[in-house]
Amino acid sequence: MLNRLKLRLRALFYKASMEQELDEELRFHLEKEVEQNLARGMNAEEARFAALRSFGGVEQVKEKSRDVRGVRFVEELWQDLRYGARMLLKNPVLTLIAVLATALGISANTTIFSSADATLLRPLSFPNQERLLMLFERSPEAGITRGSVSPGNVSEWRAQAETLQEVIVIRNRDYILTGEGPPERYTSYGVSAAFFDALGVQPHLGRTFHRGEDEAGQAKVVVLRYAFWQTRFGGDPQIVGKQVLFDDNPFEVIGVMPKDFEFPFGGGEMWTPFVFEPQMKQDHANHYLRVLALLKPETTLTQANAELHNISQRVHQQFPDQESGHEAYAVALNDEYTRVAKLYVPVMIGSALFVLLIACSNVANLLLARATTRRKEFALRLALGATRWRLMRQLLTESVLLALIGGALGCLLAGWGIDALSRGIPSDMSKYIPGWSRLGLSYTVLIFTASLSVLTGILFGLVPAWQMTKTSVNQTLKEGAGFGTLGKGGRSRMRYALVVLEIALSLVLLIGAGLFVRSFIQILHADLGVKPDNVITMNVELPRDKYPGDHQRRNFFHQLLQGVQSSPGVTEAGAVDMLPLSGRNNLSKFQIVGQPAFDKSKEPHVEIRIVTPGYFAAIGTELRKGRLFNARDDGQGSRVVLVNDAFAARYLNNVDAVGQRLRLNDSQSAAYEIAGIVANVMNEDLNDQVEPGVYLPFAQYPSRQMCLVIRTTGADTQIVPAVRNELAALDPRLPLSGVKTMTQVVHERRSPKEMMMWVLIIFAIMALLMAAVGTYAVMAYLVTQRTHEIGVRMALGALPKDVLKLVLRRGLALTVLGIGLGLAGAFALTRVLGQLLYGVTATDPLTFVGISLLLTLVALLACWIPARRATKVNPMIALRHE
Amino acid sequence: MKKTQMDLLQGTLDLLVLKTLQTGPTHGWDIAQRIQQVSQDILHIGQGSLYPALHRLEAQGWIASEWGASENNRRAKFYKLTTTGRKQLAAETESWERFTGAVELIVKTN
Repeated sequence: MLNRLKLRLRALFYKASMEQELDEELRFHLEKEVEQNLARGMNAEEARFAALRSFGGVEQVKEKSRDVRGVRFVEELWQDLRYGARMLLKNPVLTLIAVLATALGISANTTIFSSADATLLRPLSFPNQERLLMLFERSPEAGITRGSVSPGNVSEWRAQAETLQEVIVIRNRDYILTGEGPPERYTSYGVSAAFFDALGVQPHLGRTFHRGEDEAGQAKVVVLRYAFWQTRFGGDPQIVGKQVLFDDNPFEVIGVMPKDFEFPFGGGEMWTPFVFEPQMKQDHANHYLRVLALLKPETTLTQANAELHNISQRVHQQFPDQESGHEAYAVALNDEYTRVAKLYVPVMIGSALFVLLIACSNVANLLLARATTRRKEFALRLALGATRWRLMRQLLTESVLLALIGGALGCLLAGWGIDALSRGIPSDMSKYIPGWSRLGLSYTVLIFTASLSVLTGILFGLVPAWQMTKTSVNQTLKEGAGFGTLGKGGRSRMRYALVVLEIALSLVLLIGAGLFVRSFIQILHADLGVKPDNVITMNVELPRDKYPGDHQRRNFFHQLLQGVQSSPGVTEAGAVDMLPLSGRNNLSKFQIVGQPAFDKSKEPHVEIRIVTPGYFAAIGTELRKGRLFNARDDGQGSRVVLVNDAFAARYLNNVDAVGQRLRLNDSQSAAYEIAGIVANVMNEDLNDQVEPGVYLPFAQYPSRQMCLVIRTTGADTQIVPAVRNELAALDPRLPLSGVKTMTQVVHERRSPKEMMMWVLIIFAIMALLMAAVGTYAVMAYLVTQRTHEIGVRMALGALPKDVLKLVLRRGLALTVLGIGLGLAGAFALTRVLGQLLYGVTATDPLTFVGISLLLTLVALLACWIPARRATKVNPMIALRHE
Repeated sequence: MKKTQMDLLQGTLDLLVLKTLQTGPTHGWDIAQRIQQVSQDILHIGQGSLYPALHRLEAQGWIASEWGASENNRRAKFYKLTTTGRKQLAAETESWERFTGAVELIVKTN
């Protein structure tokens, strides 16, 4: 076996020396033969002649001996490759265009595939992945589809669910890290102790949580995220066992997770045990936990869902006044974490494939043109005994070689593409996108690119190869220079079909991109409900232990905001507990006094925000009716709220909203008077839906954690030091975190849609360019083919405008056909964009008509250039062509 | 004197070459000569089939080649049996004997 391999390698790489040996061996044999003949008494000439005769054909013997080396296929491939490379070099312009087109197509697909690979194919890779579920509550009547879970329900599931091995809660909690360096706020994922075991992951250093470490009264421990360990603790290898101060409490670092471990993508830097207090077991009213569950082996999602349904029914009967029609259900972890990617990625994959298809038709067309000029060569080779299969192989080798060169170049372009893609989404947004951090040119991506290149080469090589097999040896060899006869028949029909395909595909892409541009313009001009320019925001959180009372918090923020307000450059200063458009919100049930109570199962929720009096002026949300909060709405004042337009419209029919009263949470709580109505603020997803919202005065609800909103005269980031000074004067141990301009916050929200728009725009431009070049090439070819005919027509009296019409008519026919097909395709396909668009429908007539006209113009221009050239044909020269 | 030459049965050339090489390494011309002599001029190996066969056997790993000096000190390619070649020879000899034995049984029966 080894011997044979050695021989084959030798045959491949030392071909010359092997040939020489074969030669020498046969010569030796001949000479021996001659010697023998001489010994038999022949003369020299006779002896040599007899020897040669008995030997037979030397070359045939050689050829047979070569055959047994078993490397014929490789040798021929090598021949084909060299020949192919020579052919490509011989026609550099064609090669360049083909390589560029392929590179564009491949780079588009590689870039998109890398994002699909990261976010869709393997955003998560946990050993127990297949058995992991996320549990939610839903109440369709109340508009809750993926609601958080009450601790009471978690406790019921733990006690009753036979299908679930583990029920794990997740709740983010922010801590202020003190000690060495400036104090800073970090988010921790509070998780049940079984969290890591359920995922099946191991730590990079130290250990994860032991069972029971999440019970009340246990020592405080923390597991660090790899990046956090690197940046904040300098990657200290002795970190395990050390104490760190969070909110001035010592926590022991017990472990560090591996570099690629990120879960649950909520911007957290560490994991701490979530303590499930005994009294929480009875709480069925507050829904604030995220829940992860591990299925028992051999059970299915369907079984788990059936069981959760039954438990929900029992819980409703047991706690009729607390449980308001919430129904529990489970989804597979992987489905949950690819939910958003599934909206965007398929559209991008589809668009990238379109680009590749257009590139393929373009290159196929070029190769087809060249194959026509090579028909003689092929006919001759066929006549000399080459098989058609051998010639097809030759052509396919050439096109695959072309595609591989294009693929290599495409890989380089994709490197930039992936870079641009990952920079397209700011890190404060992308950390919530599962898998995004793995975006890059991985091995998987490279293998994909290589395979795609080969496939592409075969795809665009098949057309000319297939045409070639239909070559008739006799006819081709008999043909003269070939002009005049080539324009007819299947060859041309194929080329026209390819152009129509290109135009149709480009139109679909252009319309998709056009819809996104229109949608994005709508988003840019949409009324956000806030005025983000010149506004800067930052978070301040007071530790619970140091600021236990309402009074202290009220005073603290009152003084801080007064200090900030008087700083130079600040025009307005306010604070809100959850900044709009930041991805955080708080929901509450409510009742309107004087209206019948909502049905228990249909209780609606409203977004609650706690704000200081200066907040609305600072962020730029307008008052519609009534009044805003003022300094008298404090702990002593009567309870008041503000509602937004959406609330007033939906629940108060807009009549006399001011002065009406409502209760939050449940019917027993105090009633609040509506003091005024403010403008709507757009929701996180920047879509048409605005949630009804209620604002509470900070002085009556002094939260520990507030986001300062500061309107400046223009120098937004420059006032940050002043704010820091004010803060340090009040409490030097408090950190200022999340410093961001409001423009940045808005930009982050828009970034996925903006990136999507750019991806489609770039793809559409590529498509348009290639379709234009493709149309031009085919029309130019048509003109060359018909030079003779045009010459005759002109000699017989046709005017230039007749010739122009002759060529343009053909071009127009192709364009109209392509646009018709493209419009049909676009109508069918743009529907999938519906969910991603804002302010335009997926069949927006303006976009459809406008883009069709644009493409028609470009295509006609591409036809017009060769058509004009046709009118310049000199009949004398054209007629002498033959 | 009229020589009776015979065409080789398919597959027997391998056996003949291997058997010839059993006595020791030698070159192509000599192999052809020996087969001719030993078969008393009945079997003639055409060069057109000898060399492809030698190369094939070498590719199979049953024989190995080496450049050496011939009787009159000329460079020649010498072939020799390898260990696997020896085994192959044994196997082919056995199956040949069984084949001829069977043919003989039929031919001799009347």
